[in-house]
Amino acid sequence: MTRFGIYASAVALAAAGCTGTVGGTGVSTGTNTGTGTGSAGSTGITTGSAGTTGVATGTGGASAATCAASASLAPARIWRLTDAEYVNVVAQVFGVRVPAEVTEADTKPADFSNFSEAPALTAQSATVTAYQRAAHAAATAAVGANLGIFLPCGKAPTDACVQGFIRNRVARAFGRLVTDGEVQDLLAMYHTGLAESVAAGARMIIEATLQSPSFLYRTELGPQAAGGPTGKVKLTPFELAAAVSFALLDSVPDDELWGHAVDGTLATPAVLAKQVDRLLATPAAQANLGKQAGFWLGVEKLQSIVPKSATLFPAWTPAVQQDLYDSARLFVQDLMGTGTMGDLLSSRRMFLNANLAKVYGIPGVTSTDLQPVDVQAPGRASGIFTQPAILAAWSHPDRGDAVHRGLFIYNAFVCGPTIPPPPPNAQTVAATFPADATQRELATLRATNAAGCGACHALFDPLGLSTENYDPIGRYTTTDEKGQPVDSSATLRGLGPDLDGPISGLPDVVAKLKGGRRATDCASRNLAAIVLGRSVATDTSCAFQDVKDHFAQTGSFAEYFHAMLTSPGFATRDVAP
Amino acid sequence: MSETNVKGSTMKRPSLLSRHIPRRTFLAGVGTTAAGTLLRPLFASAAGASPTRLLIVHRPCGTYPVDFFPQTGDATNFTLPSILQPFTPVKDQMTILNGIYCPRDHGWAGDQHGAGLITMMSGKRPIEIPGTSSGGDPNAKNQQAAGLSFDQMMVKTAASGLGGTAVPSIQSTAYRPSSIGLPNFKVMSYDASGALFPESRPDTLFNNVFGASMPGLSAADLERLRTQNKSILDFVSKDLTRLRGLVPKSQLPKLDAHLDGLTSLQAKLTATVPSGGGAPACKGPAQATPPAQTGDLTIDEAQHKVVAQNQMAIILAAFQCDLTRVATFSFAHGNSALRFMKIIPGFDQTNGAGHHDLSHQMDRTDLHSLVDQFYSQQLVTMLQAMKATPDGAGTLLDNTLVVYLNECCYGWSHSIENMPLLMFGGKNLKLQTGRHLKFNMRYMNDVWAAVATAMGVPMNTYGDTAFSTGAVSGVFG
Repeated sequence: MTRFGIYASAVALAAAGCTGTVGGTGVSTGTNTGTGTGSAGSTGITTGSAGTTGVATGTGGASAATCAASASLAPARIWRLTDAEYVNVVAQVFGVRVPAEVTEADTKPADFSNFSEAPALTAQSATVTAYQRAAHAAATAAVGANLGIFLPCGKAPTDACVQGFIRNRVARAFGRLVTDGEVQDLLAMYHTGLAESVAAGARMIIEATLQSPSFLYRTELGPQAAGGPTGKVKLTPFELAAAVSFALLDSVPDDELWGHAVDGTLATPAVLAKQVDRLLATPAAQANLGKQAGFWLGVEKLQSIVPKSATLFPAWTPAVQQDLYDSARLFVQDLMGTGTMGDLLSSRRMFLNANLAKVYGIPGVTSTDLQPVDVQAPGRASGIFTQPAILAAWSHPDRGDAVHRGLFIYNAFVCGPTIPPPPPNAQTVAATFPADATQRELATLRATNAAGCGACHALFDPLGLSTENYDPIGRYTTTDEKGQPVDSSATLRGLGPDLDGPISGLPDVVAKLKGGRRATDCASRNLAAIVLGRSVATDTSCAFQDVKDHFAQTGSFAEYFHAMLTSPGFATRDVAP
Repeated sequence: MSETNVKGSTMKRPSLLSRHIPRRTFLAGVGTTAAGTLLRPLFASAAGASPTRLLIVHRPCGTYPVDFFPQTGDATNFTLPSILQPFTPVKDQMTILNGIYCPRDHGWAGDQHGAGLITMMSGKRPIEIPGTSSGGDPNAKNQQAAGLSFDQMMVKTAASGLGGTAVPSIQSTAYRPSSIGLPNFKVMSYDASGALFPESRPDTLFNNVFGASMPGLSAADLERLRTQNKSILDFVSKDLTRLRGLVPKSQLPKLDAHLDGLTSLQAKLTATVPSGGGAPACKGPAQATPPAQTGDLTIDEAQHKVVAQNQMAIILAAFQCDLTRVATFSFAHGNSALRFMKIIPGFDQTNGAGHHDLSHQMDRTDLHSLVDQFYSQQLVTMLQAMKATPDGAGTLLDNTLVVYLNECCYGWSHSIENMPLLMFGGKNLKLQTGRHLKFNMRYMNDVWAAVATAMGVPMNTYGDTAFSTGAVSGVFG
């Protein structure tokens, strides 16, 4: 029920501050060393709102020479299903789609939050009660719709028929074969329900299944060991199948993948690779990866913004906001399927309908559905950065926002040293700035004032200023809020030799990002958090290093997911001593 | 589901079997619209005994004290100002406490509404949530209570007689944003595990409280349901135990938390239906269907009044059925953005400020008091329903102490002096009702100490001893 927005890492990092002398690339230690424990796993990607920390420490992580050779990509763990996953699995296994709010109100978070160790994923008492209700409702609906499919053996199903249902469906929900003992228990339960009806018996089996920890928690524990695993374990074929399937589809394995878990062939690298590629090519996987990557790329942020000022931006309507969100989702989804980092940073593609095209001044679009258009109009050549959805997401309702646009670019593509939260006097200092100051004037005030705001803001404000050609709803403009010609030049400092230096606008930022490994390494880190459910900011495994190297060479998102899911480190788990 | 939001997407539905369950059908299983009568209480205590209940209600954003406290008259002979006028039907069961201070220092860091609510309820200076930072925010929104809130302390203290029920306590609100995010100014109740967030959805609250007891079922059906639930939860328990033996130590807290929830669910769903008569009938809560969001009304604005009534009706039914004896209810939190111009008839239609912003408009105390009057009207509906509900030898209101508080006094300055504070009912505790009691600067902690003492938990100081001067006298006979 609770989702805390402020996490442990902020405590120590605030003290570290932005010294301005922090290094750029390479192994970066120090800022995180010996810092607070607590909500481990809660950091990682955020889309850069002030007050939350972004991806921690420098871009390099381990280099090939120093990486940990046998380290796994995740610890041994159990991981409670999100509500979205619950809905997906119930639909897939029992054929009914239940309402989205299984355990908690759907609040459209801007940041990725499905970290296996996130406090929000620890069940509260109300969560368990909510599961009881959801299970009862889902089971009742499933039996009402599909009893004849579950028990296709007449009006008085035999025990063997019921056992068949248990061994088929319940196993799929559990992600493993059911034991003989479980079959007997569920069969006995069926007979209890039979006092009412066949349907009640089947309902009870499903109801029990949907409340069982075997369903509610994905396990990554390796072969069963009393007292839990120790050392390093290899995922069972069932666990590996689930890990791959949840990463790609946010649901349990489909029939073919399940078959390879049952016969154990998934442990064969060639079989695993083929399955990963098969699933990656499905629209369902691309849609899911697009949704998840949207947390990294600021798309989800658009769902929770304060609406733009109706006075200043009459063109901004709820319909435009929704269309923009859908448009950005499609842009990202498209890239996750067949695109590259190069496309992400410099594609001219936009998904437009007639209404959006009118608002953004793109000629020649008449469709009411969103269609891909390679836009030739000025200022739309920088991929994700020039998607109006993202520009609007990182703007105030009535004015620009160089700070958060800069932070977004910094957290999503630069992965420089962690930006601590603003100090306690930040609002007091900001209140002394002229009310009518432009974004550029504000940036100058922050960079030069005696309070020292520049120590941190100098790292990301210039990135934000490079987007000055876009108004708060993401329209391209050449005049600023005071009617003066837009100046989107700036000088990047403190980010590293690959980025530092003068820029004359967004295209220059993109050119610098495309010039080296900076952006791909940062993307690797952000995507890893999504796939692994943990922050890899301090990961030193060779497994992750190899994934990063491969992605840097190919730039292909499909290749990235392939490399990650077929990595030896993905198939094992380490147990903390 | 999100994927259906993407126009032009080629995504397929996950299964040919997929079938959307209309929300109404989904909810029908728990009988949320039913107001049926149970044949007998599900979890009644011994026949004839009428336990004491505690209900603490919070309305946010301070008040305009001139319209709240009687300005003339004496302790027993006074005229109700505009905010209190709706309480006229229960005036003789109401106590006005005048001169009670919030037990805190105005200089404490933290959001003033949050610090106010936390301190009013826990009596101690708020602390930062372990492992979090204020993020440099001078309002330090990452705060929570340093210990148990008063209601939870009473639940945990056996002598109060308030604990030991199937549902230990209820936390609810009529404002969705109060249920999510940081606890700070939203959460009234804290137990040993931290914040107990209030539930904002009546259907969910209903289920959390009544589970599958389903008011309206026959005794035979209830018994069958109990047997089925027991069978299901036995299996679930066994599965939890199995998994618990297979995880590394680092993962045990997740399953321990789940086990706690399961244990409480088991108690709720499988408690034995008492046999034999003697206890009064226990009714399911009357639930109205909240209106849909329309036009520029937020979902909360559209539904605020109905949700508030539904939430309070659930508390009433839970009290009556003795499923629980302690509840906290917050109409909305201290940064409420509810625009009352949209929902209070006759409200100045030119003032579009949300409740919190309105409370800072020093020149519009007239409107702020109208909002407070609206909340009085909402609460008095509940109080009258309690008064009409037989309980033991008297009424449910007689056997319930209702405390009605706010997190600050003057809304515009977040002042902490002379908090607007009322009590109702409490006849079995000998609450001195029909009174306007004036105190010379006493802390809320001193009031709580008196409440605890009246409830059989003798207490001289509650909360921070620097903000305690001993239990107030004269409130309880």
